[in-house]
Amino acid sequence: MKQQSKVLLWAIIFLILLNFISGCWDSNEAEDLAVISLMSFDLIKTDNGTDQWQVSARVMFPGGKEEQDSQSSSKGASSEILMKGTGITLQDAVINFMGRLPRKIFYEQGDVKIIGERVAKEKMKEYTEAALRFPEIRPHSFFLVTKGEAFKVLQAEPKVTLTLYQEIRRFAVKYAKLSGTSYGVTMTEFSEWILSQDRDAVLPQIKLLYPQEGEKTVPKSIIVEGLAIFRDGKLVGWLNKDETKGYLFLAQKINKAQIAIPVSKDEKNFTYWLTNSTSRIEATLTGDRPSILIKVNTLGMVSENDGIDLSPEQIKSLEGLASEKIQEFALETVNKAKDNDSDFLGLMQKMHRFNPRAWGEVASNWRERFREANVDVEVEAKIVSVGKMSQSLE
Amino acid sequence: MREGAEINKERISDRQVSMLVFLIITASIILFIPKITTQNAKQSAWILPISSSLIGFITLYVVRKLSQRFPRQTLPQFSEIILGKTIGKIIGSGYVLFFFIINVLAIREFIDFSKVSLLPSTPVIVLSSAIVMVGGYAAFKGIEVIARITQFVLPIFIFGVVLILALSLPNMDWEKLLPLFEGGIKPIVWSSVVPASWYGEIVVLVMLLPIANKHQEVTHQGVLVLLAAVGLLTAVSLVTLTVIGPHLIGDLFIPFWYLAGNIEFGNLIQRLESLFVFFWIPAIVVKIAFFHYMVCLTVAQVLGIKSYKNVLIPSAILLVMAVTFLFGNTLRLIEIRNKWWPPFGFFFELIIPLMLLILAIIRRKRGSVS
Repeated sequence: MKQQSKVLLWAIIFLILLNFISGCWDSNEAEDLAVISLMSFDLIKTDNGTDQWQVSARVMFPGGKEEQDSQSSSKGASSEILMKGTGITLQDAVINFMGRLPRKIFYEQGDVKIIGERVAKEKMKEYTEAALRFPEIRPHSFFLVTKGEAFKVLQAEPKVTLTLYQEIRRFAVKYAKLSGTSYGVTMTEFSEWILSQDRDAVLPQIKLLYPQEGEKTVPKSIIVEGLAIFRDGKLVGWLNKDETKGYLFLAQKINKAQIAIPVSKDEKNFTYWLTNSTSRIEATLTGDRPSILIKVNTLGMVSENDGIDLSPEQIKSLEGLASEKIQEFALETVNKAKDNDSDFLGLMQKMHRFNPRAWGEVASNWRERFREANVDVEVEAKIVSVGKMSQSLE
Repeated sequence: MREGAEINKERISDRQVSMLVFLIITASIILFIPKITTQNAKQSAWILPISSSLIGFITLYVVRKLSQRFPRQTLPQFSEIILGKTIGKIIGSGYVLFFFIINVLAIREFIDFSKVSLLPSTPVIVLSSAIVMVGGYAAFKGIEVIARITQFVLPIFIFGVVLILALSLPNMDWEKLLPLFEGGIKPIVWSSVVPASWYGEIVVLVMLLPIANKHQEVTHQGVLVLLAAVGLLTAVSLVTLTVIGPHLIGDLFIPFWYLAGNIEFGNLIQRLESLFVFFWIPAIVVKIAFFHYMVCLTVAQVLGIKSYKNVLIPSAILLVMAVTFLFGNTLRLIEIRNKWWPPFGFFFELIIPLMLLILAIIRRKRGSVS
């Protein structure tokens, strides 16, 4: 008898505890959530001339729309809507549009943030701090910058994935770097860059395109191409396609990439198909001027040769031509860095790290010193493969 | 005088003591270690877990010498032998306060972490009473139970930490540690002070040794415990520094949690913050239970109460009150950990035991061996 009542007591306790599994104060039901998948941030001028935040978001509703349209099978992608609101502060702006929905805001899904040009120019540090502070924004979020208004990017439509968020994220995680168009930067990396006192930051640029060649309607498709460069946490310029490649060769390690570099030889053009690249930076002080030597080693193949003879003797000269071409890209990037006074390549950081004594002399005015630095780029491009054929067609 | 009539009933093994002490030291530090240390030492912060462990070793030595003189007495008991009843009892009550404050800080760490990570809108009083109830129940069951919980929890804790560290390895950039020791030795020495006060928590051995069945073994293992803690915390510091970078860490609330969130391998392995919650909360529960037990035991021994269990409920109520109403916000906790805790901690961890040891040598006092 006693045994029985003990079992009963435990059963009752267990049943009572079962009620608390979904949580008491912090319970989240998926059907009550409005999941933000992608957000964009703009600063806009209001009619009376003051600045306001404009935040827009693509919002998903788990479980689809409620009740009335239960017969339609439109779940998933099509239950995503675009919303926009303005406010004096960021959260004020968010509430101004999310307040219209009878659901709870859920941020953690959306770890891609599109940042408008004005925010990047004027309020980037403040924005980054807000993002870091906010507990629901994940450390591995990606930041992307666009020219003009960021809201327009959110109006685009995805090409290969269900949602635009997934498409941008795939670019940022992997494919932008693989095709040599850009480089995905996480919030962690970006904040570390703008907080360090010895270098500057870059962020990938996102652009709008016409979805297919020949269609001239509204640009509705996106591409992540080019980089936005920062000085002291403020946007100062943009890198074009070639300069972005230069950045990747100089400052990043590339592996398994598919970067096409057209090289011309005697009025013929062949493609140097670059797959791997590494760089080594040596920064020293000769006299008063910082002198920086960057050695770039690349591996690649040539399979499109435009009739150029690919004999072993020829390959040496082709390697030389490819090296010159890559050096051209790299020097363009270095000049861009000097013109904008922005050491986004981290060259002076290398001096700080590997040559602290030299850094001690330039630390107080390192930006000016960087402008007069003597930067040399040495490229060694190797051709490791010429494809499936051993001789040209005669 | 009844010399530990109550505690002599319970026995835990030397290995259990070592595990318990290891968990107590690391459970709190792991939240703050690269944060507080990078604020001054920047990229050299990884050396601090090593340099600051010195205080831990000195404390261990003092505890060992004391335990050789008083093998079967805890600190409140032998301080009465050395200094007489009144002063001995004052020192004993000092340790009640010391253990109580460690416990308050540990509970507050749990609450602040939960509020930031999991349960933002749950009231503090609910969290604090829940955790004190769990800890109090374990304390009610006695030190043997707490020791056995430790044997279960410690492997989970270590596995979790090591897993997060291992998954972060591909993102490491060793260059972030350069230039080595920029700014000289001074910032390193100064920033060692705060973590040193955490290693000093090994002073709980003065209460545990009489319970351990082979207490001379324990002090030998104490060296290993400290070395293991140094190893773990150095690894945590190194990985966090090289993945996140020294500039951002100083501004973050819990760098290790942020590190766990930063891990991402495709769509499969990501959002590991929840893993951190899963293995850290059992660890902090053990710490809270243990210090609850310590508070009650010390009170019982100072006041000569028959069973420490009579003190459990009053001290639990006091704990909930202190935790809920003494702290305004999270910044307060960090400020206390940074500024006020080290001098207070050193006083009880090193200065009082050292003083007692010197006096015991001068006055030639020894405990009964029975």
